[in-house]
Amino acid sequence: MRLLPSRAVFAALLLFPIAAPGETLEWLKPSGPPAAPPSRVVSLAPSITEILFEIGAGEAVAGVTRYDDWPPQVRSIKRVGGYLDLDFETVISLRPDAVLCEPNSGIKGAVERMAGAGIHVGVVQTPDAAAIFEAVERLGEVMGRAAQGAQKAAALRSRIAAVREKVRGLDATGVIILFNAVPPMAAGPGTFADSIITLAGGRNLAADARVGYPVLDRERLLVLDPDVIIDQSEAAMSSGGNTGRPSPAITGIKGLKAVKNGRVHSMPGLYLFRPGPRVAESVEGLAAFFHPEVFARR
Amino acid sequence: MKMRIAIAFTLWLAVLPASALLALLSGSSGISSPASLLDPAMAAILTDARLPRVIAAAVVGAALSAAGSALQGIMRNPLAEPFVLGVSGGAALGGTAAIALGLNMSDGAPWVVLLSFAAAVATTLLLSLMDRMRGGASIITILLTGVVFNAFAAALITFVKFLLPVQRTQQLGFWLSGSLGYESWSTLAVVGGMAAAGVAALAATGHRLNVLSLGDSVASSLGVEGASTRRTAFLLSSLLTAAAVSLSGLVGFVGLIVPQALRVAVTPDQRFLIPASAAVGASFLMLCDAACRTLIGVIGSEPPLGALTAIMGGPLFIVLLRKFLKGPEGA
Repeated sequence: MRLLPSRAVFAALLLFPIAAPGETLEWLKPSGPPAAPPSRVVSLAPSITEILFEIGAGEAVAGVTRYDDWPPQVRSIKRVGGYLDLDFETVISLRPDAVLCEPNSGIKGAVERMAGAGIHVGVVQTPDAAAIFEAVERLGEVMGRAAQGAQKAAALRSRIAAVREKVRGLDATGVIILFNAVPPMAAGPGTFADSIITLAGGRNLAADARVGYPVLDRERLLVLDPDVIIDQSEAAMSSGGNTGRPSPAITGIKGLKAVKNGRVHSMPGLYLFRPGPRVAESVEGLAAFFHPEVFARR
Repeated sequence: MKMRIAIAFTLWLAVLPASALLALLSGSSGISSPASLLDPAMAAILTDARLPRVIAAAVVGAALSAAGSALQGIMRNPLAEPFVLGVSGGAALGGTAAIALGLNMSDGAPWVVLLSFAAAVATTLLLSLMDRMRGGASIITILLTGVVFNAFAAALITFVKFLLPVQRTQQLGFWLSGSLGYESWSTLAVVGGMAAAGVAALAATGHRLNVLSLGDSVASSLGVEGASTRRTAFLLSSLLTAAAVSLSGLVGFVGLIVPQALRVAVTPDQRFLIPASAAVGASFLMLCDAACRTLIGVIGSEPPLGALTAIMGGPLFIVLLRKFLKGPEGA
């Protein structure tokens, strides 16, 4: 009995896009950018949906993926499939003026076909916080809400700047962020989580891995011995409701400094690694865990 | 031939502890000197990080290889291996259920181990019952039913995977592709004890399996009943496979290649082949797992054990074939 090496892992990697150079917003040919602000938009990524709501364009969102969960209003919006299984027909039937997506090889063929059929398809790339803020501005312009976009982007930038100011000059805290507990899978180099660890005054101890999301064994964890472990595994998210409680698979490793010092934490909600506007919250939350001495405990 | 068996026995008696030692000395922080085993700073790494995996690897490798050896015998097919048995599909379904329901994330019982083992036993009982209802005509029917059941189980798992949230699909993927985790000492002791008893019982049927290879009519004239011997070997192999899968998911290749290599290189005598397969399988998997753990230090991430077994075992097997299979056609 043999099963294919997991399509699941592949799908998950698409969920965590690794930074690649490119424009923040590009429109696919031949349809190109819309001439007027679109009134019906299908968003093919939760982060894009969050940006649209952030700039007050939530009314225009006609379709979202089945992974969309924020803000709460998205629950009643039509679902158009997932990252690998885009429901082409439903997207078309929604008659969107524009489709917005992340660069994702899983749906590339489908969105190119949509662009060929005359739908305006925008590809939004947000590998780090700076790109997210730019995307907030650019999508503000697209949706005819340039002022709101600029204002929101400025507000988000100043929140990050405030954190940067507080952690300036402090020793960077050694950090591992885990997205899975059994086996422990960490955020590696070039990932979005890696970039926000640095913003929050931490140092990603898994940054020297050769892969984006390295699987670590116990020995590796014991040797890296991080000051702080952020457990964002599903176990941590679901136990204790949405408050986030680190999973026993990690807190059971008694040899770890972070376990002994009670510095294994979980951020409530899964948005820590979603490159959307809540990045400011993530950076503030992480900074408080990394440098409790300068931030009031949450 | 006697001489060759004697040498082989002595060799594997030495290989087993040597592999265990090498596996204990290797890890993601590098390969350490034997003296470091006594270093107190290494204590946590040795007892928490390495020892549980070395033991699990030995249990899984021994169980799968011994089962493979017996199955190749009773099916008279060199391609037989533990994962053609319906029990592997059953165990996979049980583990999948535990992961899909999120039971593995509670800090209570080792649910993945328990459910996959329970499902494996239930599958074996079901297959035996169906066989009995048909009048117990032939072991081939039981095995074929198992193969179909596995295909069915695989399809069911693929479907469940599709329904699950991404993080859970990922955990399931890790488990199914074969990986060793950190089970508690009590879990390791129970599963390990079961595997040891299974290997011993299977080895005890070695003589009857040998006689059976002469054909059923010869065997029955020598007082060995074909159907019941095959059924016993089938049940014991199922138990061993269940024990292995419950610890590690589906680690491929070991149960196929180890008994095959020993059969080619040493002897087809099952009295030797079953215990020797267990010992070599244990050594082989301990070393493969050690390689996985050592590679973390190089690439920063742990490669899947199921892949390493084939990467390390494949070339080794080809070399063995060339060396020992010098038939009339030439090698």
